Amino acid sequence: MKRLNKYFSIYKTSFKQEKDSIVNYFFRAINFFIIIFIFVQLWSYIYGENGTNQIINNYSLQQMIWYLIFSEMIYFSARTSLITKDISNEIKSGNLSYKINKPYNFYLYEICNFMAKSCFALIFFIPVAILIGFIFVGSIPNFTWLQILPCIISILFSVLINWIIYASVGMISFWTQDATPFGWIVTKLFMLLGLFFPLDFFPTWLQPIIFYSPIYSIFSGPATLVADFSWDLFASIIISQISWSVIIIILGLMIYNLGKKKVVSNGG
Amino acid sequence: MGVKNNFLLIFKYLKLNLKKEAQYKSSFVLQIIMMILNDLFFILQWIIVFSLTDSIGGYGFREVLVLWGLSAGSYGISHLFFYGAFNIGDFIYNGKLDVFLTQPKNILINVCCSSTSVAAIGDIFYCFIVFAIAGVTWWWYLAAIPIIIIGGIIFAALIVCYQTLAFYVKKGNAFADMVASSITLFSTYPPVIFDIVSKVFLYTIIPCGFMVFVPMQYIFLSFNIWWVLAMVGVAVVLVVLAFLLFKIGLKRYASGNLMGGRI
Amino acid sequence: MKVIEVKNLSKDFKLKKKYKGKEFWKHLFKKEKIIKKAVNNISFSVEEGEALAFIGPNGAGKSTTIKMLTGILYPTSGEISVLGLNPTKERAKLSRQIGTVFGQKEQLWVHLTAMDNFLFFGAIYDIPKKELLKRISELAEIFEINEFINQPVKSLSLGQRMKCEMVASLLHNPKILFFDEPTIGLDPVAKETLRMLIKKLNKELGITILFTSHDVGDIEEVCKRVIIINDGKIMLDDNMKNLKYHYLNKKIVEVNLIRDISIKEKEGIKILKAKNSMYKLEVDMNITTMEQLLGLFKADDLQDISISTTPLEDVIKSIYRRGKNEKTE
Repeated sequence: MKRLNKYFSIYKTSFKQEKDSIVNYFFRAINFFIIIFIFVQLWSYIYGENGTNQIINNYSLQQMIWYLIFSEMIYFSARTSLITKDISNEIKSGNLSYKINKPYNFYLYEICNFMAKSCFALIFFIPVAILIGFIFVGSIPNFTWLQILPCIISILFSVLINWIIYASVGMISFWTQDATPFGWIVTKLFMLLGLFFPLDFFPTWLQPIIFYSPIYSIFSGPATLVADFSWDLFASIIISQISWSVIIIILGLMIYNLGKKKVVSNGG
Repeated sequence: MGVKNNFLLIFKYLKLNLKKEAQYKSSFVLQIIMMILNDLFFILQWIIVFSLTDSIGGYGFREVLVLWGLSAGSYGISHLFFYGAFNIGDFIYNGKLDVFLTQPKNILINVCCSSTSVAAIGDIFYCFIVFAIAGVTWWWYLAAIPIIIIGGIIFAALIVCYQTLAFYVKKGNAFADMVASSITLFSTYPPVIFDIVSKVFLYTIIPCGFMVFVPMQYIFLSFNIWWVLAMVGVAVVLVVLAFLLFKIGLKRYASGNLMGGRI
Repeated sequence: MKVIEVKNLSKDFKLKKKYKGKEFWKHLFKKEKIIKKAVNNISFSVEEGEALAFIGPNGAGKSTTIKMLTGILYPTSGEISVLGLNPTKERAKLSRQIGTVFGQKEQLWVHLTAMDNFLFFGAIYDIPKKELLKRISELAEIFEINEFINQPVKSLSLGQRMKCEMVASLLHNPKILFFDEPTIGLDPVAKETLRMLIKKLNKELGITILFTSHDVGDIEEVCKRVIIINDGKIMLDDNMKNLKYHYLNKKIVEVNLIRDISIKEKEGIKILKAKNSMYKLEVDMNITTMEQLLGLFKADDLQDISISTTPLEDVIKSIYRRGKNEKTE
């Protein structure tokens, strides 16, 4: 228990630190607004052209926009673009060799550090997301108060899985010069197959592949849960999220331990 | 002497910057290729959109590709030649303008050209790759060259204007970064989807309308010389404005009251 | 001929107070302003061909003064004339006639070779190629950088880098050279080489030199004249001879003897500390000589000896004290 206390205090410190960059959050909120604005314009046009109030692939315009708002919100809170770069820089700059000798596990340290930042971001962005949704399309269809807690749980998991994947990509830096370009590709893949479109929009042969991939755990799952809640859906999403968390953390720790040996033998 | 000399300086800087980056050959090539791949993903996004509808206000798949090409091309030119423009705020905060101030050349040109983004080369390649995918006629390729150069200048000059906010407020560069990312976002969607209010916005406060929409609409889809001239005019005005705002801001930099710590 | 003239120069900085914790939110929009006088009403002038040092502790206002002289910062009040030009208004014109080296800010592109850098700076100053190459080879000779001129700057040692920085700042044949902390972070050998080079530039090429440092060692060999600055004010503007006589006259000598020999105090030699066979002595060079000191024991008995000058902080303290005494007298 005492060992875990250490990580909790890392979490607390990072959370406090995040407060200082509150001004940046406002700018990111504007950015967020602009992205949603463009999506609204685009999808209103597509829905409008084929007659109003219609359903495309089981989604009404309202549901589509709520889906996009929450998948984009996860993307913003998870600070995807920074993780690979941060981890990669730690390794390349040789900072890591100092941290390895500290009495904590670097990998767990970074998870705590990051989760603190993301939680702060979520506290900021969830109200912003809801506000933007109300402005553009009105309330969530078939909303129940009961869905709040399951939605938050799955969003937290999604942010965690996001980090562990990008951290693993960042650790490619143990072997190559720069891992960030690999990060771009992963981001684009995730955006295309999860962030921009719900599962139903893909060809039928592709749907099971996405469903069983981490992309569903990060974007499609939680965002669908907000736009079209059901307990069955929640159960399937949470199972997929827990399994992927375990698998990728084990994988990440394995990569970290392999890479660590390389740093130690090279003397940094 | 002035103009020609500064013009040569831009290329001298680029040559030196590329020489610097080329020292890490594998990373140099990797960045370019990854950027092209990265851009190509968006083609897939549009394939899915166009599986739902045939055209968006007259913009079919082909037109969207060309629009994307112009946008990536302008982005590429501005980041290849004037990458420093996107980091002016950083230069200001860290007192990095000092060194440039001891040199006789124009400081803004010096700062803008002092670094480059290798990945931007990928963006420029991508412009012509999507033109090929869209299967456009030969003169479109030729026309694209001056268009993306002017577009790149518009982009860089506009960002300089916003970055000069860093002379006055602490998070000025964060605001400018936001403007930069909004421009890239807006300029990749067919202009027809935007309502009148946003159009006014796109032709004034963040004039990416002149960067990509105007050449698309009035050079490729139809031809209107007045709009083309307007694009060149906007580029000139923005460049003049950028120099002016930077010069005014520099006076504040020289007063030394920016960050406090820079004594 | 006077090349630099400074009259009643002052520079104020307005700082915003920083708040922590609860205070941070309270003062989010309304922050108290503090005015710091970085340079406070100083006047001096420099003759052509002089080598002048600005000495003072960190934050004394040395760099601020140099920045005002080169046109990077605008003064709050006062007049500056450098080579007959006003740095604030004629910065670009002035920059062609002066060279600058900032010890903490690199001008060079570290990923490129020194030669690439020189060619680039030549272009910045519009030097014709032929002339530039001639100039580079001359300077390379003086600075002895030929063996690493084609290596990337990042692979060079700090001392070698500093030499390259100096060459880069001399390409356009400046009349005055400004150095801001050129020896900072260098090892003693590199420091020594650099000091010799600065001296050479001044003596052989006749370049007027003005440099800042917080290391007394820098001035002893290089300069004939010193300005000591502290808290934005000139504490002392004097030639090296006087400074040495009044303030740097005391040496601290530590000796370690093989046998236990007792050393007695003499006129001008004071024992600060004595422990077994180890002695720490203060020697006033105005009263006595090193010879006298060494006469106190046989050379054969000596195991180790170190001689050091009084640290700058102590010198400044004693200048303060003198200033106060003079006032009361």
